Amino acid sequence: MKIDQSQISSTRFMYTIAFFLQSSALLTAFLSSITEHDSWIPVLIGGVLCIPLILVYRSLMVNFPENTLLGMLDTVYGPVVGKILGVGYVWFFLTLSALNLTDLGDFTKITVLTETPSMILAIFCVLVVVWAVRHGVKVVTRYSALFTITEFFIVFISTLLLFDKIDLKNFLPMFQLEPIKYIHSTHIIATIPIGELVVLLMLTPSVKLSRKTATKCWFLGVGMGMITLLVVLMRDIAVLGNTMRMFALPGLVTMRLIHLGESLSRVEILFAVALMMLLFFKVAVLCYVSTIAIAQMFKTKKYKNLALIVGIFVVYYGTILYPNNVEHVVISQEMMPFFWGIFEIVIPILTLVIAKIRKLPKKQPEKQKQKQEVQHAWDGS
Amino acid sequence: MITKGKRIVALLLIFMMLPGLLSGCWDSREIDKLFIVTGIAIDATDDPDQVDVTMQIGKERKGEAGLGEAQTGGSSTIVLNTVNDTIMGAIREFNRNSNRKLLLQHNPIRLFGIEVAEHGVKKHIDLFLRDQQARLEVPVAIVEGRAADVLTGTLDQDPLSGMFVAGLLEDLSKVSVELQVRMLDFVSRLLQETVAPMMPIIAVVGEEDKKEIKTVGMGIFKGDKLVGRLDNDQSLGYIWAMGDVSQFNVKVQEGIDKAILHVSKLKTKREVTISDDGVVKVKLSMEGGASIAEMEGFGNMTPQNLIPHLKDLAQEEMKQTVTEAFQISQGLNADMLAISATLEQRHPKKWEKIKDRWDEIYPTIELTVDANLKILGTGQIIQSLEMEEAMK
Repeated sequence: MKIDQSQISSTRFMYTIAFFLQSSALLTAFLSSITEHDSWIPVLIGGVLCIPLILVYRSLMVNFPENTLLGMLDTVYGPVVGKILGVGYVWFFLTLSALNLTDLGDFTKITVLTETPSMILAIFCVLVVVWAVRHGVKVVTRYSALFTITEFFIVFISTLLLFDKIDLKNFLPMFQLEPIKYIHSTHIIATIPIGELVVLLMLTPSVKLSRKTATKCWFLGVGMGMITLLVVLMRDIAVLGNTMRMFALPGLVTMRLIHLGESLSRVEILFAVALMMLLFFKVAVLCYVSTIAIAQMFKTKKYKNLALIVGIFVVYYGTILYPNNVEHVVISQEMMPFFWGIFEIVIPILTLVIAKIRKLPKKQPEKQKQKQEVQHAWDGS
Repeated sequence: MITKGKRIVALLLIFMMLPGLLSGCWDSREIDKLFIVTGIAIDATDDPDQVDVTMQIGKERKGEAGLGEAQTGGSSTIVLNTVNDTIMGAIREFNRNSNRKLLLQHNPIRLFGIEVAEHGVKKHIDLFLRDQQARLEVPVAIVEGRAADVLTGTLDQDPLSGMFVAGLLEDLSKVSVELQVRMLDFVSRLLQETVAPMMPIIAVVGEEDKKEIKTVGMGIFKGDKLVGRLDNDQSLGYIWAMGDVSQFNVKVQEGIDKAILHVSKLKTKREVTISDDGVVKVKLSMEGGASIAEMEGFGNMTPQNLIPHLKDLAQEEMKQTVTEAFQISQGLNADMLAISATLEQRHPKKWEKIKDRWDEIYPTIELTVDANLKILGTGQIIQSLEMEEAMK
């Protein structure tokens, strides 16, 4: 069932994957408090270990080109189990939207608008998001390339400006922590930024991908995103050293240290703007996906009317998710990787395996296909 | 198509929203409602649970337009002082009793009185790490006596003494980064437990109406407590041992003959070894280029003999200074050269075995210092006047 009729190019989809990962640069504190100066290692291991997961997502997109993720579940598990899992995914999408919206509000409040209530920030953000969602996937992802490249540029420039403050000794000693810590961090990397890409399976009918293009899009997109994350993390470790684990937003503290003579300092606003931009787009994609998912659950194509309701729900849902930042970090480190793992790793792999066993999706018989084509041609004339 | 009714409703909604959206920023802070903090001083009080907080505020200059530099009367600063149990409590008190809010973002220096430093600074720095306004790249320093004296005194050097101290430390950082300790650097060493944090010490000297601020050395901490100090000459030993020194002078003396050598770009290589039974040896190899800056005497020497002789004297002087500084730190059992950090980074497994005994091991470390200077020039003249006279 195709709800949004608009289409996006494979390149735009690739940049959407990249910025989706880049927007997690805010969350490096989840890792640094566990694996400290070795936090870059889980990113590298996580990136490599997640290649099979990326292949699963790609295969699902290629095998079910006309279905969203919820459609795939219906096809593979049947209408009852498919719907039950679908409800779970709707909750997952809404929770992710609310979490990221809250992150965006909190971050903006900390860095730029300290007196403004985060609720006001969230409401204004959601108003723009709703407007974008109503115009379809084309508008939601329109600036993905621009913002991905902007983030690349900011990361590159900031690393260059911090060059004199980089101390490579801060990476030493390597591999000296308990193995469980590396596993813990790798699990977080696998589930929080990489696994969240499962939401993009909801865009499947809006992007036409051949097997080859799909592989290219997924791997280049994930590659760009992971490289950004890795560089940001390595830059922060090299500059902050052992103090990195103390900070809630290490990237912001690092950017604050940029000091080029009297004229160029206090450039952390660049980092703040870049992250706000990326988080805003992540929230936009998540709200779009949530809206499409709800529309599909209720079998309606009038998803535009749902966008505002989803937006308002997400704003209020965000306020009750966790009471403070400490709870957020603890939940993100200890609970979410397990919960999210079900939606991001277990169900997609199971779906692909069952689809292969059941040889789904069933190809239409050639005669019926030809008949449909004649019918289309007849309708067209 | 949008109907006329909808269009009117939309317009009305827009008009209703305009006053809220265009009437200014929620977070607006006008300069006439702010006190821009140019220095913070933390001092001890008789009550150990209380802290004496002093803040220097730069006054904005009020002048008539078109008159060039603004004319001001009276002091250029306002000094706020209070005693409270926390620094945040003091800030709240300042804000409560004023029609302006304190702006910490541009505060260029944080000063600790020597008594506070001796009792421990840990409990006084949480706010500076936590508060979004308080930046971590701001330098910190200890003041001989009360830190408030730096901010309250009228200085000949600069009316804004907080800015002056920050500028002074900034200039020193161009000689060696170790001479300017930022809050981040201090905390980084504090977190390493076995490494001794360092902090520059400044003092207010001179008569009441002619006060001056001077750097008098470096404070050595054990944990968060000041346990000892190096004077300015001994501090050179510390920065030479740490390496990466841009420029400095070495004074050499032999009887009544003396010379100053200007050394540039000193690099120090560090080699730390640890035996299986936990004996730690450190070898420091210093390398740099030098030129003769000033010379007096040496009339009995030829130019060919003088250069290697001065080189030997300077190298010996540097070795002695580094060794002396290191011995002071060994006496205090405070690892100011961060040898334990080097051990942890390069020999992590051996470090794990000895780290609990570090306080026993540190005073026994054997230090070897090598210095290798290359004399690159003698300035505009080759010989001293005494040497010229001796040649006649």
